[in-house]
Amino acid sequence: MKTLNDIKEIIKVNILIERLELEDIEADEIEDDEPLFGDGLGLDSVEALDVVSGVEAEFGILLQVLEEEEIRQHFYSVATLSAFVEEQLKETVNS
Amino acid sequence: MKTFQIAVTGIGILSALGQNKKETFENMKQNQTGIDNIQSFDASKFISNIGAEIKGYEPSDHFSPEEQTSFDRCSQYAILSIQEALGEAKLAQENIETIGLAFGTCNGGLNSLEQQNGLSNLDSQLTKNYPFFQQGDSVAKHFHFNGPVMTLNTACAASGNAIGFACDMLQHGYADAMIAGGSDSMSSSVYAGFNALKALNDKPCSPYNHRYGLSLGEGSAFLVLEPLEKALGREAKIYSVINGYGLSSDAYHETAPEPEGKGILHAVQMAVAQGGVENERIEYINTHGTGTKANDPAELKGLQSFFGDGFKDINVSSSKAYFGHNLGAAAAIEYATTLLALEHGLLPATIHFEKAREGCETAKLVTNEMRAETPDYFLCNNSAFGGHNASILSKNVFHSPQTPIFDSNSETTKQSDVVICGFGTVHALANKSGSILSSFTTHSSPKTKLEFSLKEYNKALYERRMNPLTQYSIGACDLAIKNSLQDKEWSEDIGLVYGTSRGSLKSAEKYLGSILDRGIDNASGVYFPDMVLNSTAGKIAKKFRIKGFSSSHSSGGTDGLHAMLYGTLTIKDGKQKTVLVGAGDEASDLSTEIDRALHLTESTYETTEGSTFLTLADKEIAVQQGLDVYAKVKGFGMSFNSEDNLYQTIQNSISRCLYDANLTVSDVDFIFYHNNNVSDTDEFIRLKSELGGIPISTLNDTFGYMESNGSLYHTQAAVELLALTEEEQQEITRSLGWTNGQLKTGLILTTSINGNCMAMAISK
Repeated sequence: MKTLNDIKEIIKVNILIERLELEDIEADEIEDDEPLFGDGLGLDSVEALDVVSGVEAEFGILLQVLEEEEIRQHFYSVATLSAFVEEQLKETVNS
Repeated sequence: MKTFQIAVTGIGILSALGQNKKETFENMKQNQTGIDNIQSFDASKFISNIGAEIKGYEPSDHFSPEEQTSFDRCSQYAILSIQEALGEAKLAQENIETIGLAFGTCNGGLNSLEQQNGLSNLDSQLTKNYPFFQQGDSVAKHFHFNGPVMTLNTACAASGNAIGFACDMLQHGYADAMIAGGSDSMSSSVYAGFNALKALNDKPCSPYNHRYGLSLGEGSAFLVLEPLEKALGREAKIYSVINGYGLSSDAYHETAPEPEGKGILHAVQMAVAQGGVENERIEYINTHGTGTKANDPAELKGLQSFFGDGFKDINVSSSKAYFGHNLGAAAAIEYATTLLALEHGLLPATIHFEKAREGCETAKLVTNEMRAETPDYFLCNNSAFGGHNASILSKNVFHSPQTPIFDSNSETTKQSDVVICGFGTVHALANKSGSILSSFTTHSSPKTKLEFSLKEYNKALYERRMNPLTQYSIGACDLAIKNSLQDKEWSEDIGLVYGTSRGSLKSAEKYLGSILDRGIDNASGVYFPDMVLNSTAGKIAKKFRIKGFSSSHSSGGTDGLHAMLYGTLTIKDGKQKTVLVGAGDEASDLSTEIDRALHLTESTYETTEGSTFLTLADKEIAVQQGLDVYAKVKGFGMSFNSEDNLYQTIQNSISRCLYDANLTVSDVDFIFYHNNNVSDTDEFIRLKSELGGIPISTLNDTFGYMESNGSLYHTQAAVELLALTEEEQQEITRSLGWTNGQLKTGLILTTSINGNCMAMAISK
């Protein structure tokens, strides 16, 4: 079972740094509460979709059914996203 | 200059609705869709598993086993539809000496890589078909076309762009007839990309409907185009008369349209201005209408802002519910089938329509069934990844009550003179300001390793994951702007024409690699947008906010000169006052694999990379704005080696160019030639000996071979040289072994790997 910290690390390293190839930034420089889009990391809409795919691939959860509003909410920052992923993983285990 | 009136005298179509135009139209009339379950690959892992594939297609019904090896699916589809179009047009050989081809494609030869399931140790036979000029060249060779041959790669607007380019070739007398259209075959990796972008609809698409999403398709359509007076003269069947076309760039986003539809608005404005038609006479618009959430309302907004109140009375439909999105073939299939409908007094419909989505309610949509109407003029619009837009304005010859199709008021209007007033190159041997002349005297041995980082050059111009091709090209474009427009007020309304034969293969490696590594259902959404070859042009446009006439093309060697040609015509025709023209090449492992397949590795030239940009301007504007005028563009000549006589082909290009420029051989002081030194060595040796009096040199042995950019690189060298005084010129030309006096006029000659030839004359 992955801890919340494991999840955060995977999101930062595997998805943001490696998958999106964010340059000039290390995983520990990404603040948990920093917005992923707009003023924070400045990800755009295409990158957002790749983050969704990255989460699906890394954690084996399906997000295709999510509405745009839900994506906006859960994908706000590393903190919100990792909490959401943890929730999803628990559901997978429980069901 | 004659009024712009180009007749369509032949149509050929291969679509998901039929293997010829009759079958296709009959199915449209029955409100059938070609969208069905995908057969050509396993689509079960995607969010959608439908698409509009050609039904019951058997290559062996049409092509021998050898032909099936040399023609990939994309080429096969094109050949079949061109055959149909030529069969109908019955061009008589005695009147038609020069036939050219304008080929639009988005996916090009992508299937050839997909089939190999890897990116190294590639099979040469298959890989040879990958580069995006190969389909157009193979088809031109098959039909023995001998005029201008060009591949337009502006993604989903490519065939609209191709039709427009073909009209220009006829209007300026570079060909007697042109074949123009587009072809694309279904590609699993492109499907995977649209899946990654969540753009697919799990039901057959219906643009403007409340259910979002697009359906991908495949197919091909080509038109036979001739000047209207020629078509009337030989009493050909005329389907429509093209009166104008416009191209533009959103300069906004790599995949999403500018939300207010300003890009398509600019293209429509340009098309209608060229046609000189009152807005009220435009009575039907066949829109791009992909069905995605972003596209449909943006496009309608753009049109609404052009037509104002009148827009509510104009019939509008998207044909993508019949054919799916045919990408590079979309514009041609949609244009051609609009003509078939108009011939029967009908308008194409958007089928499967239930209710209009938000932002699409006010348009007068033709839904579910063809509508009986006979519009006077009509527009066909397309938009693309990279932000490219195309709009074609045409006269419906079946309009009732009949209005004259021939504008007898064909007065002569003045054509602008075009001058070169800026340059800039990023290359191992270029200096910091983008000049290449200084290294002529300092370097005698090749130096081809380029170290250029856009981030270091100017961080503001850089974006993450920007591929080297785009970095070089943005750098060169910036240098050319600094060298000409500087910080002078320059508006967004300038043009951009860009040539690249392969695009960024580093990005292609990343994208295709993501599929190989992670599976087709987990393709890289961030690298997919760079798979279209116009993505570099799109990024340049975005960085410099260039929103005018915008095009991107591939030819395998003549790309740079072609950019000069298209940019020049755009200024001559009054569409833009200033156009930036550029080309670029990037080295990569995959590129070396392709070099091997094309035998370019056998060349004595070292392959190199880089980009060159030149600033072209209307002479009057250049003088008015106080720009430096380095040289004048005098003329062009194009010829394709369809008869396996490359020397004759080069000769044809030169003589057509001299004729166009109103010059004789004795006016030419020097020739620079860009060749590949594999397929064309003997011809250039012969040319040198026959033109013994004229100094003739290539820079490729010192500066390296750049497939797309070489011809523009040579152009910049000539431009820099022409701008010097006689003494300064001689200091430079001594290193080339030239002994003549003042250089006033030069020719740039270029050949592609497939024997596409171009010549251009420029003068002091």
